[in-house]
Amino acid sequence: MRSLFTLLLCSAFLGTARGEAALELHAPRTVHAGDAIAITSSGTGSGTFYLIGPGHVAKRPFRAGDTIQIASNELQSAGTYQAMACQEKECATATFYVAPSRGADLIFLVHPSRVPVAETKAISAVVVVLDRFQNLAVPPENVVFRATRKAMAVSSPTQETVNGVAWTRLNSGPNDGMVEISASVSQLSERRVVQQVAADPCNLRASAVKRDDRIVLQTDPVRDCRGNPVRDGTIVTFTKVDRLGRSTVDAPIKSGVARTEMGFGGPATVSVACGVVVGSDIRIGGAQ
Amino acid sequence: MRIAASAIALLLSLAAWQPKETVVNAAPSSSLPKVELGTGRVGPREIEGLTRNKILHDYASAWQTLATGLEQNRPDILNDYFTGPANKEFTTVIAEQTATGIHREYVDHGHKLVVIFYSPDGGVMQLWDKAEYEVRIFDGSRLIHSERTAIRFLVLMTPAADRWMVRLLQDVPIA
Repeated sequence: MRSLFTLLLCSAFLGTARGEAALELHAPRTVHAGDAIAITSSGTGSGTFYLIGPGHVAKRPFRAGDTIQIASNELQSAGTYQAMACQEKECATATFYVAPSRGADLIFLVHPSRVPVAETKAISAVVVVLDRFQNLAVPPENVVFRATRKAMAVSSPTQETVNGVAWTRLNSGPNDGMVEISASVSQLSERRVVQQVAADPCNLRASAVKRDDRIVLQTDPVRDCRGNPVRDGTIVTFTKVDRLGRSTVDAPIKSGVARTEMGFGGPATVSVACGVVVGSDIRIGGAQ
Repeated sequence: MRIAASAIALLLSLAAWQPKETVVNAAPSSSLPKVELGTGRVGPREIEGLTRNKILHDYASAWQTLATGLEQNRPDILNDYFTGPANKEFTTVIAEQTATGIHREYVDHGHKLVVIFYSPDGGVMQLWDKAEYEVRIFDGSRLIHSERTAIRFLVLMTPAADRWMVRLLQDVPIA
């Protein structure tokens, strides 16, 4: 029994002395996306090397003891990678993490594309910071949001991204027209255009002129309470009530005014409305 | 003596108490991976119940799709639940797996989601996913690697016509 044990011990020692070291891989624990690395190996013989990552898979022959070069284009996706070296009977594994690199691209989402003037926190702006390989740039980055209209610009205080995301809500300005919303991170900048449009009409007024058996109805220029013209295409509803009943015509605003004609069959009352705003009634014919 | 015992019992019960995330929903289908959505601090937009249920279902379906895609090397099915960078990344991986004769099998042990950001306009949702699964990597029919792992993912989801799509799925080391 003792001689058998001695024999086993000696053969194990001789195996080690001949250089039959166990197969091992050594990789850096963390690298950045787009970095090239070298993985060292130990052992003897040849086999197959595998690189298994979130965005890349590779397989190639290798010789134990050699240094395995991993090119920068193999490590573009952030995440956990497994480097594996396999021989006939065994595999060695080294795990390492590829961290995202610095922000190099922005996803910039602005909503809505059209907003009424003078509304509080009406515009939502969200920026997602990605690195040059489209990984989420998780380390904090400074972001400035800016609203620019003609010569005037308003900037938000600098804020940091949290997990690659920053957001803000902006008030719309007092006047209609285009406003440019931008987000800047270092030298990167993305911009979107938002159309500020007049709010609901204010003091909706209309006039009526009787011509033979027709009534010509026309609004005054339709504006919001800040004097911005309500956009063309907005529907104004004229409603006439006479002895025959009620009739309604929808007319779009064109060049600032809405205009239509209705039949006249005796004294009538015409009302005008636009959205939630109602103008004063007009009485036509009969006792005024 | 009795008062002292009561005080000790009270202290022990307080020590045992931990703030828990209430699980308010879970993906219902038994065939889908188990996904739970905790009530973390969400903002700036509140998540409606229907959205919450949809996220649970669609995220579970996304993982089921990914596991099937990586196991059977089928990039075509990714379009159902992946878009943007995530779609591109996994499509590349499946193409490379096909070229090298590699495939992966996932045994999914569940996902614990926490919403960390839901944009004011409802256009983007960001979540943490604490996922547990077993992955087996095969070269042809030879098993070359197998491990059970717990991984934390940062997830970015965006709404499409009738579902939420995974736009980014990036694992982040557990601190």
